[in-house]
Amino acid sequence: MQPKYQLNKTTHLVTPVRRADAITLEVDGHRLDVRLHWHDGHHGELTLNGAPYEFYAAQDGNKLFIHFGGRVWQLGVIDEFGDAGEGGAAGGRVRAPMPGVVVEVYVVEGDSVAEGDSVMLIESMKLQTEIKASLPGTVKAVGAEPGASFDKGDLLIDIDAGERRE
Amino acid sequence: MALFNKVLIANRGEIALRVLRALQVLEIPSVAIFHDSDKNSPVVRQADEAVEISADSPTAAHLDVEQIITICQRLSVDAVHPGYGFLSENAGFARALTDAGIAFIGPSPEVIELMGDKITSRNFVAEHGFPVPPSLTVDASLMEKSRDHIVARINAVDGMKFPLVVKASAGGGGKGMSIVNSIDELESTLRVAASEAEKYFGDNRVYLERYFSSARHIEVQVLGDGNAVVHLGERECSIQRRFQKVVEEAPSPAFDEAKRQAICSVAAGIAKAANYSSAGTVEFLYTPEGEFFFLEMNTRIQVEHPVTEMVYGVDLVVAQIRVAAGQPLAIGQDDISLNGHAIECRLCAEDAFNDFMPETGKVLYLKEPAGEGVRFDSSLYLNQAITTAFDPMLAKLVVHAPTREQAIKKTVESLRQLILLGVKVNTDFLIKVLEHPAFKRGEIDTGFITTFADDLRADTAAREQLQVVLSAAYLSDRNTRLLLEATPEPYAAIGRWRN
Amino acid sequence: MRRIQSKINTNSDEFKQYKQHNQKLLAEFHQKQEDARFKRPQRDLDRLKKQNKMLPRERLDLLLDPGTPFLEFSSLGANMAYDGAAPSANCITGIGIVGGREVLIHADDSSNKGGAWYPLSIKKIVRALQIALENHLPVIHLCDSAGGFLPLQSDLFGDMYMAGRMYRHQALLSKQGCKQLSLVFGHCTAGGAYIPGMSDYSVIVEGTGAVFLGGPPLVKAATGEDVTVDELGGAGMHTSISGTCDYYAGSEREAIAIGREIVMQWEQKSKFPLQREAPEDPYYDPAELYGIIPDDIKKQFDMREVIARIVDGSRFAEYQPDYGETLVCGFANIWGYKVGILGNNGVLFNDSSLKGAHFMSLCNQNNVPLVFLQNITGYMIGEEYERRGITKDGSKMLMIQAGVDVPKFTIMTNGSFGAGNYGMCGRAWDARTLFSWPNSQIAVMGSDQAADTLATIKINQLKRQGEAPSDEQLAQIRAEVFANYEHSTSAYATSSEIWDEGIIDPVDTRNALGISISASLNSPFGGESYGVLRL
Repeated sequence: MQPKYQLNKTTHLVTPVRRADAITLEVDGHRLDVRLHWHDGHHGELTLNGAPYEFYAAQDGNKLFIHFGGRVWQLGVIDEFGDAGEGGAAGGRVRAPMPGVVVEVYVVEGDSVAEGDSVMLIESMKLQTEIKASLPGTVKAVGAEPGASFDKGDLLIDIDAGERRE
Repeated sequence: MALFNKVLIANRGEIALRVLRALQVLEIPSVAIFHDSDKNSPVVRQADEAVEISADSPTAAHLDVEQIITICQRLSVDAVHPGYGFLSENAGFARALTDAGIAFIGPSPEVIELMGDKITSRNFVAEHGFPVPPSLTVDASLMEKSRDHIVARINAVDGMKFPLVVKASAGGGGKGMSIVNSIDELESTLRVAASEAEKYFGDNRVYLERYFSSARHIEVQVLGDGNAVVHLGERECSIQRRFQKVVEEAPSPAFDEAKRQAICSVAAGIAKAANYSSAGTVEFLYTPEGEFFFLEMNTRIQVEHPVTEMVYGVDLVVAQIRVAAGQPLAIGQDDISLNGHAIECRLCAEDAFNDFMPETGKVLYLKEPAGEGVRFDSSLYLNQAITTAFDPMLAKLVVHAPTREQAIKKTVESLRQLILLGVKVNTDFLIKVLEHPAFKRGEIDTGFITTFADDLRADTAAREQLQVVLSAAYLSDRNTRLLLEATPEPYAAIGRWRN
Repeated sequence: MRRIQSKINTNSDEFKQYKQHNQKLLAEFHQKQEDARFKRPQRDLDRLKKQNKMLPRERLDLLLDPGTPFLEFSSLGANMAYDGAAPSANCITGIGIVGGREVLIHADDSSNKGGAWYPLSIKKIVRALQIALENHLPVIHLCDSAGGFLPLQSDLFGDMYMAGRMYRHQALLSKQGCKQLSLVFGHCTAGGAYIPGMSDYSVIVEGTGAVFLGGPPLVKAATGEDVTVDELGGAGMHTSISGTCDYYAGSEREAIAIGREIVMQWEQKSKFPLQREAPEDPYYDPAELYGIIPDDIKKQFDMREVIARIVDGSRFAEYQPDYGETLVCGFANIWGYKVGILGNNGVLFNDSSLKGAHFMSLCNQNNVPLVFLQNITGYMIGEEYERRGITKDGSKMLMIQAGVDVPKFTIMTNGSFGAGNYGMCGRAWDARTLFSWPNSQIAVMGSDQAADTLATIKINQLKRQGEAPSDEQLAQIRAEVFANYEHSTSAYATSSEIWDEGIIDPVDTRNALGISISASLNSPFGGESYGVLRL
């Protein structure tokens, strides 16, 4: 892993080198000896190559705020895995959770869908279930027509991630 | 005996808290009203009672006259303080309250109506012999006329010349305003302005006024009780972006005592002519040549009222409440004297270095600046969501010092002391403005931010600063903290090593 | 603990001469390592890029925690085999930190020959899994192998320590509670399918990842069935129908992200509470080792000078300093961990053998791991020593060394000849890890003696055939035999055959030992034993 932070549209690399008495970091290629003392959960004192600096920090998800030198610096924590394909486990594919019959299909191939949009209504075991888009994108394939039956695991809908414009 | 049995605060945010403080001073029981999105705000907890109001949007809730009056009646409220914005200059609201036997803490509905309309207020002021800027009101039919005809109409007004401000006659708040420099520009703008005026205000009349590009925006605080009127000096409000004030101060660096007397007596005269009761503000354009013209009168407490309070030692909201309860003004003009200098900065959730784009976020950490002569008016609270549902102004920093120079210095220090994490605010921009040489010299006008746009850009960070910020960011990062704690020895001490 | 007083003069000609010699060896070593890791035909690199695949080392960098080490094993495995067709034995193994957990990693290298397993690949993976077993380490498999290299199948398939051993080790790991995670980046075909199959957790990448016992061509040949890779064993099928894999990943990055999350859920068991102090860097610069190791394997050096450049603060509590002086024994700390060190300062005599045996008993009873620093020509031979029972005393050393319960670690610092290799915990004696310095050599006997012996045999043969070789011919025969012998006993030759965990730069010894010791503390040791015999 390589920790990366975005500040004013520039990406900066902070590479930990080792942690003994001090923490050795490489910040944008410059090696620094850093010590940190937290006064409380947000207020810390950083000693950088021997010089002390007071700062305050708070984090909200991947947004980091540092107050230092009379200014607030807003940084984005870049998730190295962030560009890993959208939408969790199965990507845009929705498979039948159990055997059943398609009652209604709300979309056709090429339709734009938002995450969570209902795309199909199925019925199995006397229970109707709405099939929802697992990610925003374009409908690539509709697995079954209304009235058609399907088995467990059959592909019901396939959505291509992204490329959806408002 | 208390002035009122119970006062409802028909507002939210910092001004609701400000009004609550005044009610507490006067020992009047208070009622706060709040939309669900504000349920955790301090005023809800601190007011004696708090009632939820509902509507499709938070703003709509605060504009719901019927709902508010029902609450007043249910809770035996006998006066309402409207703060600023929302229903503060709504004559209908004032009248509905009066009809229900509830006092409106502000001037009479008639005065609100008189001053609320640009054209009637302007005419009223002109009739009483006070200076108004050269202007002309036209309707859509002017567009049908020849260019010569239009030029003739403009030239017929004494002192009227380009550039002109074009705005909807019924509009306000800087909405739909544009500046035209020539007859060509006017022709094309007029058509759009008239149709927009029709669309938004149901009135296609358009108001043309001479535009003074290097004028100052000066306003005078007045207090009236229906008979007597006093003024509390001027406020300098020229530092504006998108026609909205950002930095205000009192007194104006442009004024000496003679000039002050000249403009303030006009303001007091206008208020007096209207038999003004409550606190009000008369706004003027002040040209480099020393002319000044009436712009409009605001019949409410203003956002920037604290600068006046600080230099005159008067609690304006308390005064409003006393007057509304029928008490005569407790002070005469001779009781008031100017003391030192005060500056207010409006802290807004915006990216000031990117065209003032609104910013959203969440209050993750707040440490307010403090000290003698430092006042921080806000209703911020931890974990408050900052959304675009309300005005981007989050807080006001008001600083008082013996001289302007000291006030600037102290304001900058206080801005640097403020620690508000979780949403981008315009602190750096404010510091840039305050530290600008022209500002320090007091050479400001309403074009200041545009004129010095090149000087008011974000600083690039020095390498050392970046190193501190990035090191602090890395070590504060939750992910890092988790991994640092989890890394067993001797791996952490060996560090990044490959064989 | 007192600091070793180094007698090395870093300004001496000898020091400079040795340094120059060793730095040349190191440059050669680092170049070979660099080539084994990164030198690939452009065609292969292009193919991976087209498939949207990362290089194995890119995956590794993404998987490992920032600011943590990776102790790689056998980076020059197979370097002298198959005409160099399987650099690093076509796979990467080692110990690293993922989500704060100490894990053993096995990664196939699909940037060469589709990641096919050569016989030495199997040997390297089996050895890595054995390290996991012995040290109770969880394992992460980064699967991307074409499977066994068919032309050499007879050398990798049916025997005790061949392919089947990988899966058996997986089963035993699971049995002893060591978690395993497979990240399936490529095809896991036939036996390879059991790697994710026998893992506790598995993540499979859409499109490129596949798991099946027989691939589409084999299925077609066997049953006539036409089936696509995706249908037969793709990510969607295995995560939603067969349940062979647990998590579907849209990309390799996502697979690694999921993998890290899985690992972060694993319990962190407490380790053996070995005596530990705050680590301290060696007082003497480890880089001075280059000027200490002689330029000729026959030249003697003081092992204390080596110890001073490996242990914390260069502090060493020497045991029996005036007895059996050819074996240096004593206590020290490495990255804070208490260890007992045995280092050779010459041939093993009766007294040094007894001293070593006694010291190992002490350490075993005291629960102190052992570190062997080998530079040994063997046990002393000759009538006098046989009469004194050198074989008997050597046997004692072997018996106790094999029997101790504490973890053992071995460094081949120079020569490792004859039974000395055994007594000092050579490969067959189950050191938890064994690393070699580039200058080191392992053989039944030293090159000179071996060359003489072999040359004599050859010359006698010629003489029996009626030939009378000239002095020149004799010298040439000896030189050829010597060169051959040197070559086949070099660290490169032995490391190629996975006789060790790899060649390391001497300055890396301290880190390699620190990580090895840390890993060893995951499995409990110490129990009842006999009292310590004063031998």
